[in-house]
Amino acid sequence: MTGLRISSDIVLPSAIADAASSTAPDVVIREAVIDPEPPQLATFRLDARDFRYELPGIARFRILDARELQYQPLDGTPAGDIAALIATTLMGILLHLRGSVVLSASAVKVGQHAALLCGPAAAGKSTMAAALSQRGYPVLADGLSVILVSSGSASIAGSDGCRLSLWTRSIERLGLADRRGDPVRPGLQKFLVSPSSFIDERLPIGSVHVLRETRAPEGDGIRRVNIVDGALLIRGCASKPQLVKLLRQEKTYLAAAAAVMASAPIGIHDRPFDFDALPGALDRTEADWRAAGLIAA
Amino acid sequence: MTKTCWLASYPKSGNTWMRIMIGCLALPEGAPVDINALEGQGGITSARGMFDGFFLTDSSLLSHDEIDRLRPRLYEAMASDLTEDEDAGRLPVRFVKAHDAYTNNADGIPLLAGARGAAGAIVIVRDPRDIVASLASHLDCSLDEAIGFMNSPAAAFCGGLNQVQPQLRQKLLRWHEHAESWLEQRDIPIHLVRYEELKRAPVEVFVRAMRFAGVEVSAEAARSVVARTSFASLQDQEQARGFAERLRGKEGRNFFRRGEAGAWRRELSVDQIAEVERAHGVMMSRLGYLPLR
Repeated sequence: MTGLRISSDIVLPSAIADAASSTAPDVVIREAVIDPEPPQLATFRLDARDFRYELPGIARFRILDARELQYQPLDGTPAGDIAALIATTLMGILLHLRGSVVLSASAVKVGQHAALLCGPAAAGKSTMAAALSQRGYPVLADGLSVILVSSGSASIAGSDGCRLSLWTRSIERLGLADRRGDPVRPGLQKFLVSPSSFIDERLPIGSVHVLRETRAPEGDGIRRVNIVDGALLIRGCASKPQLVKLLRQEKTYLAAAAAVMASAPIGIHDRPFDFDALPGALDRTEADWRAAGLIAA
Repeated sequence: MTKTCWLASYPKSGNTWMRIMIGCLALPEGAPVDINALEGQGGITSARGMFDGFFLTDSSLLSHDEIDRLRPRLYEAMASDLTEDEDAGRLPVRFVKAHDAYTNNADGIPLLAGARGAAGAIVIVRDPRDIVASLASHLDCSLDEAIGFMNSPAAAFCGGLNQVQPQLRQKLLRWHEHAESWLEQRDIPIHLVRYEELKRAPVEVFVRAMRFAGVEVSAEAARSVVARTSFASLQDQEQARGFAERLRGKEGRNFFRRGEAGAWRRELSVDQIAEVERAHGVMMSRLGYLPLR
């Protein structure tokens, strides 16, 4: 998951099972009794070696040395809820604590490259990835993308899972009802959906689009950005931007942004949040990939 | 610490106009107002990004009620200058828009954190008969549907469940309950602004409201603000370049529609007027929109 081998006593919704592996896990996830923290405003106490996180009435979490993730359900919270929070929020935090460059991004395979679709919650990353998979681009990641930098070039680590998280409305409008699985959390109208095609590969990054809703006075379109704005965008798309600051990871993210931009254009994609406009947004996306040389003209 | 002052109102009651006027204060003297770049603002209570950023969470995975359990802590942190305040302007007060009714969460804690969340609130009210047509245009629904929405105890913005909402849920309650919730709470002082008075005597009303919040504005400065934020100029800007705060999917419908006081006499039927007065009459009387009963 996100390039990590995980041993877990709770089933994670999107993890790729590998029961046969004899390699030691990178991360162990297990239930434990966790002492409550003194009352505070934030949900977390920042300590890279003993990180604490609590959602009132839901669960308490602890991350030790960025290698062991403990959880304690509160008030009878079901395991499915805990697993969903671990797979998203807590994995994002854990990756930051490990010093990884982790973006709030979905990704698809385009030719021999990874194309990233970045943005905060509600930006439409999963919906775009699902729609692009219907156009034949296999999904690489949904929600969390880990960037690996080696010899000045950037690639995306292995997948964060083989299923997309989509809201009912997206599932209906994309005609994916037959691929719909369990809810992401019991009671939430957001479901795990098997994409049309999925692949788990480490691929060089060929394109980055930061998804935004078109807001006046901007019009629809993909606007390439310069290196300074690109670096700020990459940092802003971190899974937990506040942790970049608190953990003083700005330089790491700057280096990653430079490596990404050495080979991949970064663009802001403004498009309406309207399913009727989705085909146009997909056409624009493909046209930009074509211009970047990722697919044939 | 930067003091927080809520700009509280039911939707379509003049909150945005007031915010633009305040934003104007943060601009250099004489500088033109850009409705898509409001300065000196602390955003809106329901901003999802601020919530996710502060709590390191993905709020789309939490239920509305779970989010509401955390929200008071966010506003307390904001009032303690512990949050990222990228919108902070040049004013000594953080003005934050709030459409939420003043309610308690499941823990019995004020959603907006009571006195820990803000030093006070400028509460803007408007004749509900005038809100109807404006709200109908905003929500792209009929006048009758807007009247029904204003009389629904479950009324909320961004309260849907089948797709992620751009903002956190804002419980509105019935129109009169919304007003009552702010007027009756005893946690923080309020300053009441009637939209109709803001229209009639904008300089005086604006100066008094700012004084309540702790910002001294001279009559001359207020006149400059009022001149630069006339409703006609806001309409012209929206016409020319659009307005970023218009609701999703409502392109072609103006956010700044008429801004009139009393247009309900032309826009609503006799039955529709009677329905609004029947549902909200007591509060309308209290606020001076109907003779005392």
